[in-house]
Amino acid sequence: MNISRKSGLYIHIPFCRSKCGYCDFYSIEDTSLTSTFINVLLTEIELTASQVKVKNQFDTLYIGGGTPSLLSTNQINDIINTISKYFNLDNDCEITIEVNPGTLDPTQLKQLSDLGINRISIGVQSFIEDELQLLDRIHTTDESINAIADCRQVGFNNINLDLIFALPNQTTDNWNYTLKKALSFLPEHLSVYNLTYEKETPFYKNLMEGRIHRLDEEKEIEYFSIAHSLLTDSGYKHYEVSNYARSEFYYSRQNYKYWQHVPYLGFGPSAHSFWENSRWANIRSVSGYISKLRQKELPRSFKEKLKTHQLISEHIFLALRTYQGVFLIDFERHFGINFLKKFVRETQELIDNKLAIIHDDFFKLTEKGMLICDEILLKFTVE
Amino acid sequence: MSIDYIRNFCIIAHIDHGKSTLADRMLELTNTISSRDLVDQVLDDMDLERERGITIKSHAIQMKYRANSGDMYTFNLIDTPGHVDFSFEVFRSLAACEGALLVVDAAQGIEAQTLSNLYLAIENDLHIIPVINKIDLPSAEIDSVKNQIIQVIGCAEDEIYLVSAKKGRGIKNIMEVIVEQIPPPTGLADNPAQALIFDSVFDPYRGVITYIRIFEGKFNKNDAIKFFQSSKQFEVDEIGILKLKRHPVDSLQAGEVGYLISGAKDVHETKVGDTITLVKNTADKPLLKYKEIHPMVFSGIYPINSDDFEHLRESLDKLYLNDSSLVFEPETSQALGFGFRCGFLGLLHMEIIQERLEREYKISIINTLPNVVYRVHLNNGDIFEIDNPTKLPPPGKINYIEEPYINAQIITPADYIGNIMKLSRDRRGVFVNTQYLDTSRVDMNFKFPLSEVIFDFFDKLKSLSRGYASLDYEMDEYQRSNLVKIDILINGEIIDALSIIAHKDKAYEWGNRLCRKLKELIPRQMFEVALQAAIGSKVIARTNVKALRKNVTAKCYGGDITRKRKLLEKQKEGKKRMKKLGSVEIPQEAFLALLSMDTDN
Repeated sequence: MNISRKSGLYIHIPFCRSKCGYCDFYSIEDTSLTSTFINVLLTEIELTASQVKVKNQFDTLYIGGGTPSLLSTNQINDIINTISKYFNLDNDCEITIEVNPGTLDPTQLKQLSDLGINRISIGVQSFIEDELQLLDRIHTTDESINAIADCRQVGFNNINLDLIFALPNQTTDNWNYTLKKALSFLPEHLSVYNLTYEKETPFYKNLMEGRIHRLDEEKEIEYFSIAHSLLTDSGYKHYEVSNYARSEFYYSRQNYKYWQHVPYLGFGPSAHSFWENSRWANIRSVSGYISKLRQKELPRSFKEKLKTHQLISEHIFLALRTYQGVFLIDFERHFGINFLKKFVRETQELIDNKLAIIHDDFFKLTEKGMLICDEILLKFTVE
Repeated sequence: MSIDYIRNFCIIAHIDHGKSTLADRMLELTNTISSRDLVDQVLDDMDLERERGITIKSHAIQMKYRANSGDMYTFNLIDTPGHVDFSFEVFRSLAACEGALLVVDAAQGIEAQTLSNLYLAIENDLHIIPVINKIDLPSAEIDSVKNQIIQVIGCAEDEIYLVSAKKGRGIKNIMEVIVEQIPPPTGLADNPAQALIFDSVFDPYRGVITYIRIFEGKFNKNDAIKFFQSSKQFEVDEIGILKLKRHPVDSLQAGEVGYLISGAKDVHETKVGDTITLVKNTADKPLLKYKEIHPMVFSGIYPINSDDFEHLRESLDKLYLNDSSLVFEPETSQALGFGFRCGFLGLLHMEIIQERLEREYKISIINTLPNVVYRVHLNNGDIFEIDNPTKLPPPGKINYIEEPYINAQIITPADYIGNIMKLSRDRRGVFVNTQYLDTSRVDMNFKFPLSEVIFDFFDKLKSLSRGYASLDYEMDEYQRSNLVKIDILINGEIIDALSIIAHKDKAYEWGNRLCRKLKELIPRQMFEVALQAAIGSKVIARTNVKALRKNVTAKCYGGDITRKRKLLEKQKEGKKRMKKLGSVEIPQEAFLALLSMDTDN
């Protein structure tokens, strides 16, 4: 399996040519600060390296955003070089970059490949033109198709496509079309997200003010199931609520670290880190980020040391989101608690109702259980 | 002060007919209070009262009025509550007066409450001054209202006075009429002392403050006093008259109205309606025959969070200090844990207690459906009363059950007679008679099982009469009824807190209604929830709450696990506000909503 206990690195590039109405990841449209940002980002990497024990081995680097593909090759090169200088990257380190199909050209893709980037995550979202417009995407379906072809042409053999479903007024036909179109490119990985209305996004405001309407729950379930059937029938593993991979080898190593309590360091505004049982995040402001780092201060917005009960709760709720589930032996070894004894009533109730199963020392949710994952997670918080 | 210059009176009026506004004008006219200080309707000083526009606790206030004759008079205005639950409070307030202003809204006419209070006043030999208020309203029907008043009290047309309290018109005239018509009190300062307690409040710093009307004798500071009912003896710490605040004086004597503070620590030692006398110059009997007030409506009150049980007990204790009609005792429910069975005078009283617990004492509570006290006759001849449906013995042991009835008086415009007759049939009412107050207003009398009236009857009555019909009631006798206990089962488990007693003919309807309502109120859970209503082992209604099918966060925000964890912690906290009944989580609102259930749909 393509997962490990080695540490991960994340870089947040907070720029977008244009913000999408549904997205609540931090980014700004003003790109004039890009080069200054890159400078201080390198400072942050250096400062962090001097403060944390970096003897850890790292096997992922994930450049996300925002729109990292807005950066020049040189800028990305600087980032990767600086990272390599301060952290021990494995030879087969998974290096991912998120790209927007509207910002790519084949030359740039070739350069990215030459820099050692070996995984590409393309923000396709939909293959229906109207849906792209609704989502405020800056690209067309043709550009998505070209981007995928270009990636293959350049030699990328680990491609993820992001798709979104349950858009307002989305029809079953359209969703089927998008999925089938995506499958036709044989992507190694698919992230299939149910649209969520996050506070402080234009979508949320429109929803609240009745300008758009949430697709009804039955439809959401239907679309979730369509994706599940279509993709698993095509040989994909549904390994987390919203993630599919063509084989275990193509599981997103980076995401798995989030779900498995593996340490990771995040750089850039709003980036999160989990390190030695502490979590911290950077401030959500490019200018604030820059001014802090110019004073050689780390731009933290908070830091918390997790208490044991919080670690346990997190461990459970993260593990249950994956189809692997809670590894019972590992859990007991780690926390000295027998999971099934501690939650004897809860687990039995779930199993009786076919919402969960125990298989090979794993306690995991069924397909039906996964659909009400959040409700189930509430049963397993530890105080 | 000569007793001849004292006038003790009250105002009888329906809610919103302008009692408080009229009182305000009198206070202004006598400079008892400046209009600047006047928070609207000063006599209602609890928030709750002001919001509901009803006076729950009666108070008194003294005014000095210089009459046209040049003489200075002392007016004691004794306030009376205006809601059906509190008619006993009205009674003792009336007993403290020699006269009453009967205030009727020129647009609304006489209402049931007014009428019953008026009869109480007449019974107490009070001199009645009929007043029509709001005469400047465009919808005023002065002649018609005059006719109603003449019909009821048999006065002459020119004995009815017209005012607009809002605009201050006719007030001065009323003041003169009070001087001329209401008789001064009688009584002698040398006689054995008798003071009637017409109200009392608990003050955390001073203990109980009793509001009194002295009929005979004289009370001085430091006198040793005795309460007839409780036989308790205390010393007078402070005695005084009531303006906007308390004004201590050295003594009060026959004819005067004021307050008295002794060492009494809770209102149950100084029962309202009781008589105070002096230890040295003891009267041989109390002024009124004391009548113990029994609660009519019972409901279980439980803390949402079981840790709040002690806090709930302390809060009820505090409310009890101030409310002699509240009763409560601990009870245990399998479903709800530890709580109290509380007795109330009526539904309004119940709501007030609930709201005060939540607002003033900050406890989240669940209350069960209210019920009356049933009298159960067993086959072996034993008779006992139950105030909680779960205490009903198995049907095999019961010979028969009796339930309390009331005499209800409904006053309504004639247009709504049909609607009201239908409501009465729906509520197992027995029609007694109808009397026309004038050509368009009818006084209808019924007997109802109390249990049919405690549940949204009043709201129903109001809505089917466009707000015009009014209701008053008094307790009647117990009558034998064909009653059954309906249990509610959630996933096969009886939820004791939801059991009710209902008439057999209505059992199916009730069972269906409870199941349907619960279905609406219980949020979807991980599993299907079966809801059943049953009489004994026989299921009479069933439905279910479908299982929750989807609740999953699509993504975990790029490693921002803190956000997800905090969200879960917050949701978990929210779950704590739910009661777990068996394996099902039920929000507090479900219980509250059951209470407001529309019973006729």
